[in-house]
Amino acid sequence: MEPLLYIADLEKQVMDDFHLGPINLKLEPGTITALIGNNGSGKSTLLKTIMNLVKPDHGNIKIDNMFVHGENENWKRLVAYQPQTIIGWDAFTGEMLKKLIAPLYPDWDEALFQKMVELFEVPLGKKFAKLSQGVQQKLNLALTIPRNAPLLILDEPTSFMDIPSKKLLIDLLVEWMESGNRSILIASHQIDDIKKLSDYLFVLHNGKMLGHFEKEELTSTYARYWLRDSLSDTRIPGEVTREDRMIISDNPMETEAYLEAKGIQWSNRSSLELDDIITILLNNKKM
Amino acid sequence: MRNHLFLALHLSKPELKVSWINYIGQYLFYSLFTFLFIQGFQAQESRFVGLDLFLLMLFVFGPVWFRVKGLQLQQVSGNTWVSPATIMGLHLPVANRVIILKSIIIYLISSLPFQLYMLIMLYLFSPEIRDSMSLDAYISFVIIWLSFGIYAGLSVLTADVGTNMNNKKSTYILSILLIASIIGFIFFMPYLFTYGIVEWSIIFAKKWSLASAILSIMFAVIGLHYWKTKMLKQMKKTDYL
Repeated sequence: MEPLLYIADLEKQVMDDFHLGPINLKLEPGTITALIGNNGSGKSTLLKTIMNLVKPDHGNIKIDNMFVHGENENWKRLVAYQPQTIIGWDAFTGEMLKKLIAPLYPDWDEALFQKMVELFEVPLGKKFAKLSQGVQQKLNLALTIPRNAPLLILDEPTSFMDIPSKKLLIDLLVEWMESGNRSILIASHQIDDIKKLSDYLFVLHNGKMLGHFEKEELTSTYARYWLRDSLSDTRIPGEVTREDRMIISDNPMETEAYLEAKGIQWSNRSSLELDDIITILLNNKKM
Repeated sequence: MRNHLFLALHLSKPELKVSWINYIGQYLFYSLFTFLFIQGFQAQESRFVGLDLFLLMLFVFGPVWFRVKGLQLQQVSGNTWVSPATIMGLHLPVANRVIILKSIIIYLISSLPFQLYMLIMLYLFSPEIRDSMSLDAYISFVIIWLSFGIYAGLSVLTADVGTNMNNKKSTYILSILLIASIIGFIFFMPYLFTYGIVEWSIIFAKKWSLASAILSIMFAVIGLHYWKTKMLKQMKKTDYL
């Protein structure tokens, strides 16, 4: 299947102190990818580069086979982007913004917009600048998701939202994905968003790509062992971290083969939670 | 092109809707300057010395002084300044040309009617101006200045589409020196060339009414095209971080 979003060898130097890339990423239609990284890892910069708001120094980005940084700007119709910080909306009311945005998208879903406004209790008659950050975020989502563009890009969509609204949004996004061959790329620090929504995880650390993982595969890769006896200082194959008699491995098969060969017994084995795995990945070191 | 114009008008609508109160302020501002120019012209016995700078500023910066708070230039990252309306446009499925066209439409709506109002009021309420220029010459004078408002005024829109400014001290010093030189030249022009910019434009309008008007319109068309192309190039290289 042709990827909806294709990024190859993307690099960008920002100021003197930050370098993004090289980044390689392919997003297939019908998938949700969570963009994960430490603060300042370049998640927003990467999303802005996809939107042609930031120009790359090297590499290519294609959306539905159209170069984002080329002359043809038709790819813009295929993307709905929700930025982390909304600029330019302050002077307008929600109603004015809806009248501006909706006609630009042929597949605009008015019923979904009305549903989201009602669910999130967004006052459409108030100026954007007068709304709280949480309500601004809700209005922004209500004006982004109903665009029904094949690629939905969300940058920290729930950072200011209350807990019930976060749950509502996850349900809405799951429902939205059922309607067709759509993809979501979502930058988030919220583990619930990542756990419930994502099929893939794309991990960045200080601008560098750590990997593009299938979520289920990633969780099955890691295992935690409680050993019966103390260990020597020798490193065990697959070992990522150890604490007293507990070790974490990112290669359970190799680890178990080694332990069995050495006659080391374990009293318990468990899989790791996704947030523990992300922590290990982001720390980028053997704990 | 027609589709671009249609989209640019669509993007302009909400900006115009929230700007009406600022346009009233702008109308009062231009009225005040009309009064001051009439008084100055009268006091100097049909000369226009020392007021050139104010007229030039009105024709170049007047339209952007009265922008709604949420639409004024904004620093979006360390060294990038841009109009928030440009950022909003960049997030929408419209071509960069449409965003530029929208900026030009808003600029012209915020400038031409007010400038024309001021020039008409000057002619109606200043006997000195009526005495010094025939109606033909004055129409030429109006065209010269409205065209100037386009080919010089549109230059301020290059800031709207965004600039990645460098924070070097030398850049600041050079910018200040450039502005000071321009102000100095305008101020000392009557002493160096007998007349100032406004008086020279009156002379041109009186002596070569038709030629001055045609040339000015040509400059306006060339200027419009030049600034459009420049803004498009600038957008292509600006990082909106």
